[in-house]
Amino acid sequence: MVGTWNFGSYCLDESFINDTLTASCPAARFSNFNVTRTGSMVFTATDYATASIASVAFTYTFPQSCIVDPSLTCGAFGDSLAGTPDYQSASCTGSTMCICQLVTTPSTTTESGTYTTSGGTLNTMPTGGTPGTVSYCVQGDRLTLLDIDATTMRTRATQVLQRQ
Amino acid sequence: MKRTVLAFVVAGAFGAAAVGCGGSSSSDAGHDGAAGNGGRGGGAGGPAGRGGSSGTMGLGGTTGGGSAGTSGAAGTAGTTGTAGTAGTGTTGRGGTSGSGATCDGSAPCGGDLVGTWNFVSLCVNEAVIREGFTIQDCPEATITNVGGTQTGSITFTATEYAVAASLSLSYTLTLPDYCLNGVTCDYFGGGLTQSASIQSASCAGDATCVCQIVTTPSLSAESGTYTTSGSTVNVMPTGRTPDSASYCVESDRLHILDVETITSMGAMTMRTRTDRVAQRQ
Repeated sequence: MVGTWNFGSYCLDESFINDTLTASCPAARFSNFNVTRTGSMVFTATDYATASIASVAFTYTFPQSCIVDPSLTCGAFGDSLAGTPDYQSASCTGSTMCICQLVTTPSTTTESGTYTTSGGTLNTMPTGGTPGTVSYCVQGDRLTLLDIDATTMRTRATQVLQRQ
Repeated sequence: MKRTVLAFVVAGAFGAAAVGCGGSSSSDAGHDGAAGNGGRGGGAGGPAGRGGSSGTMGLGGTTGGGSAGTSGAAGTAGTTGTAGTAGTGTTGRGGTSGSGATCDGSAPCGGDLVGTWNFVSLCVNEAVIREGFTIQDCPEATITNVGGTQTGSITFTATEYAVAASLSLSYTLTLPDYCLNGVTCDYFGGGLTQSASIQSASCAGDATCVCQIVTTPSLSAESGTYTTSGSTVNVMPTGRTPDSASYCVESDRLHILDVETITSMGAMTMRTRTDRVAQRQ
């Protein structure tokens, strides 16, 4: 782990995301996730620090019938999202099915603290934060961080980093 | 003489030697933003709740299954840490002058900061270090060959920035044997390595003890908003005191410059204390 790693590709399990949808609109689906994350992680023998900026582009598809307010069209729904600070862009089209192309506003993340490793597990103790655990694998100049669901053992997300 | 040596503060822009404390959990992907709810005008279910202080794997929640919302509640911003710890140097007179890096190669010029930049080198003005270096009752002690190593990156959007970096210094410490309080030069070097701030120290010599020293890397992480004005970048780190630095973007190179004004004999001159060089990713 020791060294500096730049964030690279990020893979998100869409099915995991869709499983979290509530029953209020069961036909709604997220798809086409594209996560853009730049920045780096730095590890010494005992400490780590990370900073990154990330945004997520994705498609959100749902039946127009899910829109509670009948006066709100699919396009107007997209406009309402675009008017929030959470979205860099939002555009929705369709009639029966409303299809939204959304890009979140880039958000920054910083964290530092101490860490330990045990086998393929990385345990982080961020200063002032809650300890975290993630699986990891170093292969050559590539570090892969895996967020694995402890119950199902499904990989929810994979973050690949390249040694600087 | 104490065996603790060295007070190196390279506290340039963005807290070069800082230890931050940032976002919360570091294992959950996309869990941070609260699901959209309570939206405006009856939406179809908040598709996003972002802005949480994600950690190592977190991305600031991408999903939200809440009903009729336009967006999730923003997560709490990670707090940043305290300023870096300066080394503790003993008091006394400064070392003798000599040639060394001056970091005058780049002048502030401004430019477009947006993007991600990998730190590739660090220039530390040797004269600045010497001025701050003293060992009690050992005026002949000198510091030479000061070098800096910095890794990590700094990312700028149009309004925000985030930086994570590791920084260490190397230098040669030279001192006469009478400053060793009767111990051998080699033993003195061994004492230096007991300091948590020293990663390695190797000392050799008889009448003159020459030590090659490398400091323990210090990590920093910081993020916040920023503005630019001409060739000055003003940063407003979350939970910390605003700071500013000079900078210059030259093609794919970014120089973050800690420049000070010196008044001597009535004349004002500019001196670059540190130059942190980063390459566009």
